[in-house]
Amino acid sequence: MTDRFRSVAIFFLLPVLFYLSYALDHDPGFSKRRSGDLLYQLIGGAQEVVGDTFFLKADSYFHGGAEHTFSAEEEHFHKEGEEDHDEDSHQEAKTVLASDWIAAVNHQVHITKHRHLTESEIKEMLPFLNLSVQLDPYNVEAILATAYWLERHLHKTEEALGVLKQGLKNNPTSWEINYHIGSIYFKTKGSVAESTPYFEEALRQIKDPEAPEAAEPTYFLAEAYAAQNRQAEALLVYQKALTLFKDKNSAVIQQTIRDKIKQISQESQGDLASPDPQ
Amino acid sequence: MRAVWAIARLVIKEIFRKKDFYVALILSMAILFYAAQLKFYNVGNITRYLLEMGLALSFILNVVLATALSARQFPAELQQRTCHVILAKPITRFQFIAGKYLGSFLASAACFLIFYAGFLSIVFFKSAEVSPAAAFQTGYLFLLNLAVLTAMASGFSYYLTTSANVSITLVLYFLIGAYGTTLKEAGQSLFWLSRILSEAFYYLLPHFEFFDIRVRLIHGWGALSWHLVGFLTLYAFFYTLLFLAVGWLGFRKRIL
Repeated sequence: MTDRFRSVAIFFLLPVLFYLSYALDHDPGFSKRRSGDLLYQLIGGAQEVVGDTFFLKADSYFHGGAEHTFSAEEEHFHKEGEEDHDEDSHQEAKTVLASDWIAAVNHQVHITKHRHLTESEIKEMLPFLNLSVQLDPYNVEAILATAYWLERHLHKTEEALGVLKQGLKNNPTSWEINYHIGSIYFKTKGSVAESTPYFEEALRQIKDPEAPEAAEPTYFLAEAYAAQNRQAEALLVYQKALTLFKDKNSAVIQQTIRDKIKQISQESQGDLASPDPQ
Repeated sequence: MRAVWAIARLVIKEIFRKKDFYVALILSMAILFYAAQLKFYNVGNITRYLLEMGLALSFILNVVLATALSARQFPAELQQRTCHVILAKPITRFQFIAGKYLGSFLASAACFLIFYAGFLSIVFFKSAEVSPAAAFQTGYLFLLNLAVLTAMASGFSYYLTTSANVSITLVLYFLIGAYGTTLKEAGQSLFWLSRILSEAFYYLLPHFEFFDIRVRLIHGWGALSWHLVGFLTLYAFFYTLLFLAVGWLGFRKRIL
C-alpha cells in the first residue's frame, strides 16, 4: 500500500467514523442505555455481555454446576433435589462413551447430570444474580428471576421489592416488573391499595390488551378493585378477565371469575333493592 | 541426580527471590478477603462464589506464574551466557533439561500449595462444606496439570523465545482447557483442513480439562474414583516425558 493510497483512505474514513460516532451519540435508544454510567462509558456493551454471562452462571449454579441451557419452563423452578436423566440423556451419554476414550474420560471427570439446588442452597445463586442485575440493568429476565428467588424461596420481600423497583426505574415500560411489584404488594404484603397502580400500569404497558399475558394482571386488578370495594370497576375488569382466559386449561379460573361476577352482580342488585336510608 | 537437583534448586530460589509470586499472592488474598466481606440482599453464609473465586484465582495465577517461570529458564541462560558456564561443568544436556524442568515444576508446585493453603483456610473460616477427598483430589490433579504445563513450556523453551513461548503455551492451555471436550465435535462442521487440524489438536495435545475438577468440589459432587486418578497420573506422566523429550531433541545437538 502506497503512502498516497493510505492518505486518501484515511481522508475518506475519518468523516465516515465521525458521522458514525455522531449518529450513535444522538440515537435515543443508544444514548438512553448509556445513562451516564461510568462503567458503561468505559467498557460499553461488554458490561451487558458480562451481566448475561453471570445470569447463565446463576442458572448453572441452580443445576449443581452443570452447564445447562436456560429454560423458562416453570417446572425447572419448582423441582428440587437430584433428578434422573431422561431417556434422551441416557442415549446421549452412551453415544459419548462410545465415540472415543478422551470423551469417555471427560464424561467421568466432569459433571454430566444435573440436580437442582435444595431450599437451603438457593442463596448460593444470589452473588451471580446480583452481579447480573448490576451489570445489565436492562435484563428484565434477570431482574424478575432475582426477585422471584428472594421473595418466594428466601422470604426477603423487601429486598425483592427493592430489586424490582430499581429495575422499574431502568425499564419503565416493562409490564412484567409492574405486574410482579403489584403481585408482591397484593399477595405477600396484603397492601391492596399499593398494588392497584402497578397492575393498572402493567395493563397499560401491554401493547395488545387481548394478548394472553394480559389475563393474570387483569384478574389481579379485578381482585384488587374488589378488595377495595370498588365493585363497579371490579365487575368490568372481571368481565374483561373472563374473555382473556380462553384456553381449556383455564376452566377452574373461568368458573371462579364467573362466580365472582355473579356475586358482585347480586350484591349490587341487593344494594339497589334496599337503598341506603341516608 | 545431584547435578539435576543443584540446577533445580537455583530455579526454586529464583521464584521466591522475584516479586511476581508475592504480588500474585497478595492480590489474590486481598480480592478474596474483600469478596468474603460482601453481603448479598442481607442473606448470610453464602460460600460457593467464594470457593469459585478462590480456586479460579489460584489456578489462573499459578498457570501464568508456572508458564512464565518455565519459559524463561533456557532463553535467559542463553542470553546471559550462563549456560556455557553450567555446561562446562560435568553436567550433561539431559541433566540440564531435567534440572530446569524439576526446578520449574517444584517451584510452581510450592507456589500453588501456598495459594491452596490460603484457599483452604478461607474455606475453614467460612465453614463451607467441602468433601476432604474432593479437596485433596482437586489440589493433586492441579499439581499434575502444572507438571504437564511446565514440561510443555520447558520443552518449547529450547525452540522459542520467552514471549513467543509464553503466548503459545497459554493459548494452547486455555484453548484445550476451555474447548477440549467439544473440539472434535466443533471441527466436524468446518472446512476439511480445519477439521483435520481440530482432530489433530484433539488427539495430540494434552487434555488439561482432565485435571480440573473444581465444579465437583464447589457443588459437592464428590470425589473421582481412585482408579481414574491413577489413570490421570499416568496420563500426566506420559505427556511430561513427551514434552521433555521434545525439548531434549531440540537441545541435544544445538550449537550454543
